[in-house]
Amino acid sequence: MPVEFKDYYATLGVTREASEEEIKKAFRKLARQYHPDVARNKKDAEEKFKEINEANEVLSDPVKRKKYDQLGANWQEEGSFSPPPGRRHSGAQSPPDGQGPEFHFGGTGFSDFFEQFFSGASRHGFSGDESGFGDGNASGQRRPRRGSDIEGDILVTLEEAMRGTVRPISLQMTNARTGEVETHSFQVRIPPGATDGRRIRVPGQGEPGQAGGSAGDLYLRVRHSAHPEFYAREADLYHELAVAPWEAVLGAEIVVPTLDGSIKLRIPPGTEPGRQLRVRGRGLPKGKSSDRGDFYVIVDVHLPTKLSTEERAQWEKLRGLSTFNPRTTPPA
Amino acid sequence: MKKSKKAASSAPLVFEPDLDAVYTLEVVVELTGVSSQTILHYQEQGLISPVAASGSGVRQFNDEALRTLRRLEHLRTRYEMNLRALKFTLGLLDKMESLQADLRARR
Repeated sequence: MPVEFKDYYATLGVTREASEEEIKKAFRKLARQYHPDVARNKKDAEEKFKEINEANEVLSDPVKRKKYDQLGANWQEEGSFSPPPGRRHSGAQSPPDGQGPEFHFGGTGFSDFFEQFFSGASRHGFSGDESGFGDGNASGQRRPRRGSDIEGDILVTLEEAMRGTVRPISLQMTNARTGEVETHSFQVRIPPGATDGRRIRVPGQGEPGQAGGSAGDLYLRVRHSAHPEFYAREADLYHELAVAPWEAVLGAEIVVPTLDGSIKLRIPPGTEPGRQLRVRGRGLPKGKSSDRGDFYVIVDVHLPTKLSTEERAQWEKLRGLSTFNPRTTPPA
Repeated sequence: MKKSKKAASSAPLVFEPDLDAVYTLEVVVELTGVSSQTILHYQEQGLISPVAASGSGVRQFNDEALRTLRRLEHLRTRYEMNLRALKFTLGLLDKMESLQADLRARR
């Protein structure tokens, strides 16, 4: 199954030598620009947003990045790739000695290239005739055997995690016995509150069983795509809020976006940078109950860097007036 | 059941997984093909655990337990692992997954 090489560095607009911090910055900037909520051309932005997320998924993970760099060095010009010896699977991270049917995902939100080399796809169970437990007897009788479970990652936006969605999935497998490639297409409802790392079990959509055995299951592991404004930890949502020094010192009322509408948030006077302000029940849904996680606003104090003469004079006046010394004053 | 090419091309199947689904021991046996004896043995050894007992006190398992069970059976039959090896390997796999999750959360 030939796939096209993806230049993830070009996608993020960084050099091959870029530091982790540079990659993070480049990703955030692009994610803001192309988030389907803010971009004007929604369709194009959605594609681009997926590409950015995929590139980040690989380059922000030191292990995956190393693998990607090695892969790039071995990639042939024509775009075809000869896998290193010992690799027989299109499903990444199969057990090294795992044999049997190859499988290949579609509809997960990741490219074929990613699916082939970087997805968390794996297989647990028996396959082919080589599972070698009590079956090597001379009788030649085939016992019914359940098919392997298959695991793969699925990219889900925070909006989808909030409201739930239905995703078309295709799973291509080479039948071990007939050698034929079979494609199974189906749809899976991603329920509201699908948190990052959560596995969704799709019964009977794993590898087919043998000699009348039942099919294995498919587990789709939820991977949240990055959002320009929020990130999630379990069902809690976090948002970094930039505030001016006087807002932090004097307190303020600020309108803050959430995943479902804006809220007016009161910043108490004397709010230290990094402080987390909690808004109950405005995070992701928790399963079928009506419970929701919380929404946390992390206060990030930004300082003015370009001062007018008048502003500078005011700061200087404050310096002369203030008794505050951050190096001697014990924390309040 | 084997799915033929024909079946795959008919109207698309829609799965509506229930993340909170729990199953009794009998259902787990049916779903995984693992005997109830083996399941109870794994439970005694702390390799899988049922979800907190409901009011009725009936032993129930969730999808994660199903997955663990299948993994255990895979390791046992394919690599001929004994109980100690199973415990060791499952511990390593869990540790690896939680470290990967930590690493991911830091990005």
